[in-house]
Amino acid sequence: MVLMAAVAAVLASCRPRPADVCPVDALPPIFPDYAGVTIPAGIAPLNFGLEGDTAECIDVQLAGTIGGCLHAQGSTHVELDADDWHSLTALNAGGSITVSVCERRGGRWLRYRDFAIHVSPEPLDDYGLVYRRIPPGYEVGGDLGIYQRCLHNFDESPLLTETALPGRCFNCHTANRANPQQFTMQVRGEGGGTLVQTDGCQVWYDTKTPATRAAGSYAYWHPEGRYVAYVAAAVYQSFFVGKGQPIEVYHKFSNIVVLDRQTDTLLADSLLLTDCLEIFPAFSADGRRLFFSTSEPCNVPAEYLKVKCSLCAIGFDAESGRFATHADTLLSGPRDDCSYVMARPSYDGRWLAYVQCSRSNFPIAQPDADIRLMDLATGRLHELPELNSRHTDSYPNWSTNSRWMVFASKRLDGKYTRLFIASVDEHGRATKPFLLPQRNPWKYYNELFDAYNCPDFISAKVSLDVDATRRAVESGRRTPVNLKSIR
Amino acid sequence: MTSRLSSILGHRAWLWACGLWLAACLAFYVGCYQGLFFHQAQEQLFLLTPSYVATYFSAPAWLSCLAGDFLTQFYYYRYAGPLILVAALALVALAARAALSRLGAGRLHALTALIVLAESVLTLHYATRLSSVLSLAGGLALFAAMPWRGRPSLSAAVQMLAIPLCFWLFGFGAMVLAALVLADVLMERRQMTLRLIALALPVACLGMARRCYLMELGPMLAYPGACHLVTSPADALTIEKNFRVAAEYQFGNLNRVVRMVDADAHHTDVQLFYYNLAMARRGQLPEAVMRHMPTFLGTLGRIGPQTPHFVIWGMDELYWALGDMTFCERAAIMSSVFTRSNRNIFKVRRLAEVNLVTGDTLAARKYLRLLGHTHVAGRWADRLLRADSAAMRPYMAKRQWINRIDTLRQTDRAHDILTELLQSNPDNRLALDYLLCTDLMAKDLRQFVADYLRFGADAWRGRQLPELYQQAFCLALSVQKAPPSEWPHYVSDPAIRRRFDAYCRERGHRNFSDTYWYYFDKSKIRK
Repeated sequence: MVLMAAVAAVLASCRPRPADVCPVDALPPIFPDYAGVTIPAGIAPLNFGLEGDTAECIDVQLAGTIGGCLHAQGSTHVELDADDWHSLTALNAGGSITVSVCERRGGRWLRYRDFAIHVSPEPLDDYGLVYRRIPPGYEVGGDLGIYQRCLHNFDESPLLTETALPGRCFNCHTANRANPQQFTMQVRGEGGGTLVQTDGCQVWYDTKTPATRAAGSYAYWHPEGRYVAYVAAAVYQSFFVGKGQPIEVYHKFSNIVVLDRQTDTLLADSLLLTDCLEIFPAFSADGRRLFFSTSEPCNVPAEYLKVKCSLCAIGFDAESGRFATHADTLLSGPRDDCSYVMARPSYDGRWLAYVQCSRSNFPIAQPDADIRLMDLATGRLHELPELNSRHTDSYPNWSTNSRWMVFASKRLDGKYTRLFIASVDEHGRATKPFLLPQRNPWKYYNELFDAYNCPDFISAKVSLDVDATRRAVESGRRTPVNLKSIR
Repeated sequence: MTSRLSSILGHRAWLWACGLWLAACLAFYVGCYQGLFFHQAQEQLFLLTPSYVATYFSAPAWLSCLAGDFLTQFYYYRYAGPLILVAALALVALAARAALSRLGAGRLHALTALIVLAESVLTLHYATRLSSVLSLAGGLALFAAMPWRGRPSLSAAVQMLAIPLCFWLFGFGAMVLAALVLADVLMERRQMTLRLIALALPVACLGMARRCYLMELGPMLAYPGACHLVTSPADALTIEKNFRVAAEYQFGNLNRVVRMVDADAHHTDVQLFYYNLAMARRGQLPEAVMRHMPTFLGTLGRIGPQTPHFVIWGMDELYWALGDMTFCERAAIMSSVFTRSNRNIFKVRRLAEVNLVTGDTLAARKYLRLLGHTHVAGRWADRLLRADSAAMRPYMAKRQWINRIDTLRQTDRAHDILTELLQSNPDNRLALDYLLCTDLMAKDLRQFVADYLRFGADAWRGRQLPELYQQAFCLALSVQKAPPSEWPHYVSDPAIRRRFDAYCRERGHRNFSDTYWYYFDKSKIRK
């Protein structure tokens, strides 16, 4: 009751509209920085507050360039009415929303410069995002979990958390082109295995074989759903001394295998199972090529500076399950003295998003990692300066209509990855990304101790039977896979 | 109401007995168990914010957990923990008596005493949270408050609702409630079938909450931890010693750490770890390292997931003192992850401090803003967020000691870390003492001599070496068959030289058990 009374008092104290405003020739110091971002219509309300959470009162007026307006006030942040917000964004799709922010400080109203939020004509119809949230731990996991989040409101629900499978680590929830009915996931620890779920039916594989030496991770689906490419790798980390980057993550070996779900066979092509380190596979939109990164073997961690990944593509025939006889190098890491990793082709076949960093095949630990775009028709590269930051930007993934990209960035504090969404137009231009909206973003992100990783869009809500998952993990029963060496 | 209360309170004798027991508990907690309270206060990061409070609804027992964790943060203050816990036990006693009296149980006093006694024993385990005690009290109190007698159908309806409600509010308290209801059904014997069904149904339904809470059935029904029993009083007291010495060190009471360890006859590794660290900060590590043998420096093992929890717990203190911010951060993060909720207030504070020292302002502010919402560290964090120069001063001063070599560390051997620290700052006396003592405890005389010549020669130029180092040089020089003219450079105390000659005649004799020579010949290396 006391709390409610206090809230009511604060709200009441905030009601008067700004009068005798004093103009300030600066953009409002809002968190998150939504000034100039491009959003899809129907996204969750872009609530924001003033940095520091110290404002006496904020008054916000939103006016669409096409029509409609919205007014909101708050003591420390503004919460926009979801229905009004959705109507406003829908009405202004292809236009902009002008945001006027006034702040009351010391009894005086200050009015900052207006800024615009652009509403893209391109929709984002996907239900939301799936991602992993993990407390920082370097070599130990903690209470990690895979969550799904609706993009049109603030609903977040856990798919699987450590409390359901104590002591296990799970990662890389990967859906087939955002399809919630087809996904794969890796559980590590006691009773670990590779889960492939299609239409609610779980199949658990043991993808670790003597030849591959490790279970599958960093998965990617063939668009037809028959094949899933995995990486069999041994990942390690070493710590830096000094003030800069905290860790270097490296792989002692890494190869790509493809699971044929129809025959429960692991296809091991000798071109993808070499002494080099092949990593981050991704099938092209038509399923006729497999993009991947590869680097020459070197003595890591001593030679960590030498890990330079090239971006390659190899033909794939889904009918026969065979790869082409040679792989093409799209971008050469050693030649360009950098590393090209995490290829993610857009589902319309037009673009190839990838991450570029000065070295390494694990870009999330590289502060200079940036997302780039390749026009698959012309081979032209786009640097996406609007999208990238001076901190790590990685894990790009596409919406089903290939117009939106979600990625993980450490730009807020240099340590914790947060999710950002940007649009990409038909010319390969990205817009300024916006931070995944939250009801009270300042509080939410400041209190959140977890980092996000492996974000991906999902077209509808994912359903995972946690009991069945637990039973499968505890039983240890796995569908055996046959290793089929090709060539 | 008054009559009900007086019936609960019942006999004065019972009140006296209960009061005496609780007073004894209080005395015991204050006198012998303070470390545990400080440990539990750290095992969380309670934020007084609506969004954090809302997270309590994602697990059963939100009310007892919320109340318990809120109160646990005050365990940080000396004596607050014992008082709060004793108050919670008093609540259990009252609720137990009320519930049992409702039940019409015979031997009311004995049963109540048994419950309080059992719960008191459970609190001796470091994993027993205050919320567990409150959950028990909640389950008992809810039973006492339910309208029952004479109306079995009403009772059936009430218990159908009360058990899920109790689970939601008090977690395993619902199991206590269910047990009491069962007892009541069996004792009353009216409409037994209806009431047993009304009991079985909600209990069975609790299993379905697994989907909601994403928990395993056993841990979920026992949430927030029904029964952590100390299996051996000696183990419990050993753990308490560890908690207490860690607490005193973290409070900066170095003298108390030293006194506590010196006064103890049976030392734990953790005690010796903090003892050595406290003495090293006083510049007396060489004098202290062999005082309580076998000693434990913490520099002969490695940090990793396999490192014992208690060792990791203190590692950030060691590397903080030494000046290695990378390993300090790593150890703080790891011990935070090993904490129950993955959030340890002191380790988060350490993370903020590390980033203040390294100048990573963005990251430091992230942690400081978190800590700003805590009761214990809020004011400290606010001062640093305002960049208060007095508050920042120790971190600015610390900056001069950090490792300035910027490279990928390929091992996590403490020797390499200490060497790097000394390369960056040859004046880092703490690192030098740890380096030389690590060499000596590892019985690596060759490395000791090399390290001394590389880093230590200047530090003691014109001054007498500590006795330990002189003793080590006696061994090293005799092994090397060094000419007599070289000895005085390292062994300047003739008494040590004479004693070494005596030792050589009686090698391994217990008369020399206080010497490095004896350790070198007779003791095992502790890792």
